[in-house]
Amino acid sequence: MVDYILMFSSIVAAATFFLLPTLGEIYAERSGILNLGIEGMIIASAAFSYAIAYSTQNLWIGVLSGMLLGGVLSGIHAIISITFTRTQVVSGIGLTILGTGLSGILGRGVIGKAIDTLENVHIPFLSDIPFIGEIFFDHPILVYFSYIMVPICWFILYKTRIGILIRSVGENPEAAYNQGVNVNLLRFACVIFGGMMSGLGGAYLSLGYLNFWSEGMTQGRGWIVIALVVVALWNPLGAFLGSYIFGTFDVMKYYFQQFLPTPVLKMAPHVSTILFLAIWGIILSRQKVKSIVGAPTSLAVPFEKS
Amino acid sequence: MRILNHRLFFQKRIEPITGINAILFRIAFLLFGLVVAGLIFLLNGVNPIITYIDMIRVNLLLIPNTIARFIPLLAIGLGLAIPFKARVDNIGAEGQYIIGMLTATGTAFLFPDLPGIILIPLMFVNAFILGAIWAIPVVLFRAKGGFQGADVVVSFLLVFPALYLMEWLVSDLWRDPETGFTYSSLLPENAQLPKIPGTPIYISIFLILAITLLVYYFLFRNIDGIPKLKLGYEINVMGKNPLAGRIAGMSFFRVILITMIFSGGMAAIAGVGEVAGNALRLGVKSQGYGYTGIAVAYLGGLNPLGIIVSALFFAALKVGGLALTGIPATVLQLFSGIIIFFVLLSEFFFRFTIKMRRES
Repeated sequence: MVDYILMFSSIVAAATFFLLPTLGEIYAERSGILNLGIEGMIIASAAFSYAIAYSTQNLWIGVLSGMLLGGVLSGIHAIISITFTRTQVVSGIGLTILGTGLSGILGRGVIGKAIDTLENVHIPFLSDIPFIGEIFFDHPILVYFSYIMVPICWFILYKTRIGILIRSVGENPEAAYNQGVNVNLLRFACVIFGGMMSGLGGAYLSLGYLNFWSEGMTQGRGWIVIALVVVALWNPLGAFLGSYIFGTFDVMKYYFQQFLPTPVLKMAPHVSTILFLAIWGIILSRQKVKSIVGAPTSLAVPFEKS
Repeated sequence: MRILNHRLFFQKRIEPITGINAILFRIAFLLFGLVVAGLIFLLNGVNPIITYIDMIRVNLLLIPNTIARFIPLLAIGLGLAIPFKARVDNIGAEGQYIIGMLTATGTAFLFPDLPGIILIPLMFVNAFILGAIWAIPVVLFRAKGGFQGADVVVSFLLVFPALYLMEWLVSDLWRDPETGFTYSSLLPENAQLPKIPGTPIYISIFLILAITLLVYYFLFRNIDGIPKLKLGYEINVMGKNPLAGRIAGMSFFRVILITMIFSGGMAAIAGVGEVAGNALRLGVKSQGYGYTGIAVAYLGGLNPLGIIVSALFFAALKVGGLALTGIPATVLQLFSGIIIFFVLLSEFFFRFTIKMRRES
């Protein structure tokens, strides 16, 4: 007999890990900067936040320092790709490799060491709803934060002045620049916001979700985030939906263990992402679809002020 | 940027830096990178100067080992440089390399009775084919992916199925019956690559060096600004201006298909060498050469001759890693990442300089 409440609740926990970095990356890509370094930022800040939380015995300092590291690392990408106008793809790959290397050094002291991690927070009234309350409102506070961030990110991106500026910078930076928009500043802000959300995702991974640190613990899930941004059609609401779909793939592998060997099941998230991307790629390759969806036109095109 | 009443800004050089100056420039930026890595060591309570001296000393003691490490890095780096040049970002060399290891092991276990002179070439051919097949999805996504970075994401995601396939085979089908540990039994003797006597250097070094020089001769060496083969020219055009190439009637799909087949195949050949020449059995973990290969290709300036030098450099880093105490093995990736950033920066300064102007 499968415990459905446990299953759905672990889907929520897995999906949050995808959702936080995806929201950040949506902002970065909407402003026209493709940051392929998500994996590196997530894994480095997972290690860093765990190490800091272990040495200070304070979880929130750990979470904050994970966020900070994510911001700093994405700052490197921003400097290389915005200030120095280099290829964003290569810089992002470099960031991933750098972050993976950094994670080994940052986390070397805390491999296999246990600490009390983020507690599940009980929200009065909401947590008491039968079934739904047990699934959605019996989690660490970062999960609730991700619920709130979805509408906030959507509102800012689509309903405020700053959101319109971000999208116009990603669409046509020359035109925005001629209108007096500080293109580079806006792009910097978006990339660093993306980095901080990735850092938060990393902190959530080691302190709220899996509750340990080991080398290579992300298992390439940072790359799934980049795929997710596309699946979400660069829209925070889509990110919510997409994260829960991929979270389901991620959790399902535990429920098929008696039918298939474990290593085959471990491939499931990666293989399903590739298949998903294949379908999405066919849809998105039509220019008409792209313009309806509003994919940022100047994505990954360096902007050189003339 | 403003410092006091001086303004810093970038100015385009009248002539970009090329030739020998570019190489010196690259080396200077490489040294900057080593300094930055040293700072990170320092923050971790490790003395960088002593560390670097130790790393050099280990390398001098173990020159044959450095050359043995150099073989897979050269193969992967060269295999990556060609698609990189055509703007196909294959970062999944690690997966193709693992597939190469699997194929070599599988071939050796399937035909254990074949004489070595047939079996070993068969292992290489099979690995090349399967490695290339593993790289094909990247081509499809690059050509039809519909969004930026599709090839990057897919090539990376393909690493994991390969990795878990290896894990599965090693823990189930090919598990060593004698010890019961999660690695395969030793390869049969006729499947092991011959070595240069007294050293760990196995013979695929000759194959890979020959391929490197051929690639340089046919695809990269410019005669009057044009490579010897048409393909080399097409790769250049596709990398620099795909639109112009398309108007001139070049098939983008054909170019990336060929480059990726070569790329996947080379990574797989590196895997054959690793399992049949070095480890002699399949383990459950991979060495991560596929990721280092990316840095090898960029540090070598995407040029076969440069890649020979940069592969030697990274092999030396890898062997020098034996001297590191108190620093985990991922340090090689830290170096790779930092070096990629500094190579990118050096390319910027090929074309620009920083100028300072006084402002009132």
